[in-house]
Amino acid sequence: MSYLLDVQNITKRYGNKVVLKNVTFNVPSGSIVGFIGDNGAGKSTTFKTILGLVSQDSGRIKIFGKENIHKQPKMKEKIGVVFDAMNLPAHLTIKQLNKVFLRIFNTWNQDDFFRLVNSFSLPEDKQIYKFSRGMSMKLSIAVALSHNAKLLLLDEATGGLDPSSREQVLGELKSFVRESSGGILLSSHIMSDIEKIASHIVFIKNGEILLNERKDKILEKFAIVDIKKERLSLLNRNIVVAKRDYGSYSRILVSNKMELPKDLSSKKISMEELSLLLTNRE
Amino acid sequence: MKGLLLTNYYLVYRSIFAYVGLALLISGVLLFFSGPMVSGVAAMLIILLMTLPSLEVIKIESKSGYDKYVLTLPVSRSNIVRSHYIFYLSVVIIGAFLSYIVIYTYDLIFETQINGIINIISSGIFVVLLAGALIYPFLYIFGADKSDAFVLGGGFVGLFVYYGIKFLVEDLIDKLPLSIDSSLLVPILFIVLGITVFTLSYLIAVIIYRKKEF
Repeated sequence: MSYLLDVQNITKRYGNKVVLKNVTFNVPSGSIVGFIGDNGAGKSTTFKTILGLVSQDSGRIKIFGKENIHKQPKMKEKIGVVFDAMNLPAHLTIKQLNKVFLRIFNTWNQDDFFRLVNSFSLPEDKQIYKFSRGMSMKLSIAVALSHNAKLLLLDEATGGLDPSSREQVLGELKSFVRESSGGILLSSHIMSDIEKIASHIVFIKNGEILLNERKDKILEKFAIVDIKKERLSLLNRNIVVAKRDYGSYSRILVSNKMELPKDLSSKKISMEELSLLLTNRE
Repeated sequence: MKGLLLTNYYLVYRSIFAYVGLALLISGVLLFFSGPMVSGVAAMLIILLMTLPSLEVIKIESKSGYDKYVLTLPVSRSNIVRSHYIFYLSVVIIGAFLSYIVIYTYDLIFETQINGIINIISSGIFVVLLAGALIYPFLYIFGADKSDAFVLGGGFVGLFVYYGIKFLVEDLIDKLPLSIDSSLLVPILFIVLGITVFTLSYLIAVIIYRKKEF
């Protein structure tokens, strides 16, 4: 199967500190991959490595089946990027930005761009640095969606948006995947967003991937159980994904609830709980 | 490339126009009150002040995070560096023309005889090209945070080197038994030297920028 993005065993060190350890995951066509992890877990470094902003020490990254994206700038026509802060040239207005991108992207679609700008209620003649964080993020998303990209790399793109704007943005992202068969790598701290639109979940902690699974499989097969410590030995160790102790009992994330002892009742899993348990696991 | 150049223009065009106004005002006042003897200073001032905002491009890009974002656009790293250098060179050329027009106009209106306008302009071009050639690689290596220090340092080094070379060349022409018209040779020498150093600096900057991590 060919993936829009295929990351294989990426390792990155800053001095003696290993910030990415054998990171492996992919973004298939027509999927939205939720990339979850705490601050400093390695999400932004992963994005930067994928985009060639920093070099990896080992491993391989393929985008649209090809390596070394920085040597093939034209390929970037098909990649839309939003970073966790507004990174557009701040002194420009939206109209000026449109003129610039018309000259940079062969595939720039100004009708789409102004449709999104209007739908996000953004002022066309105001300099971007005067925008609120939410407005800036909406503009960055509008840019990413206006050049017929096939792959979107969105690092905390919904951060700073109010609930109704988030709803609107998530709607746009879903229709992007539906209409273009594209793919999205979306990192977010807002679990409800991930729960709503992600088809795959990749969880990273301290530069290591702890979970890489389809969301429907997680919801169907994974479970969280509270179990007394003396009964822990009854559990099949192979299904234990994460464990956290709470005094006399432990809370455990298991990968197959069918293999739980019959008398153990499991809770329906939510992304919020999944994230908390993986983050705080022992 | 056109898109990158247009971005650079949009980022600083207000400052460039403001500096042009300021440069014209100061050089006008200087020429009016002090006469043709300060024509060199006036011409140099116009070129120097005009090029200052174009050096701000990298600082503004870095402040807004655009220096990172631009690498995600369908442009190569060498194109990004080239856009900075071409934009700077364009402003230097416009500054030189403006400088020439101001001195020439003053000459016409006040019927003075300013000698060696080309000489004056070429020295201005050399100083700013040398300053740019020094500043850009430093900005790529150390980042835009210290840009003010680099700009100041680059300007001083440019002036220092200019007067050093000028002294050497004039001394050499005097000593050699050649019948060379130094009024034409010296300006050509400075412009060629300035463009050569600027081009070399561009090649070095591309190597630096290709390896830079963000």
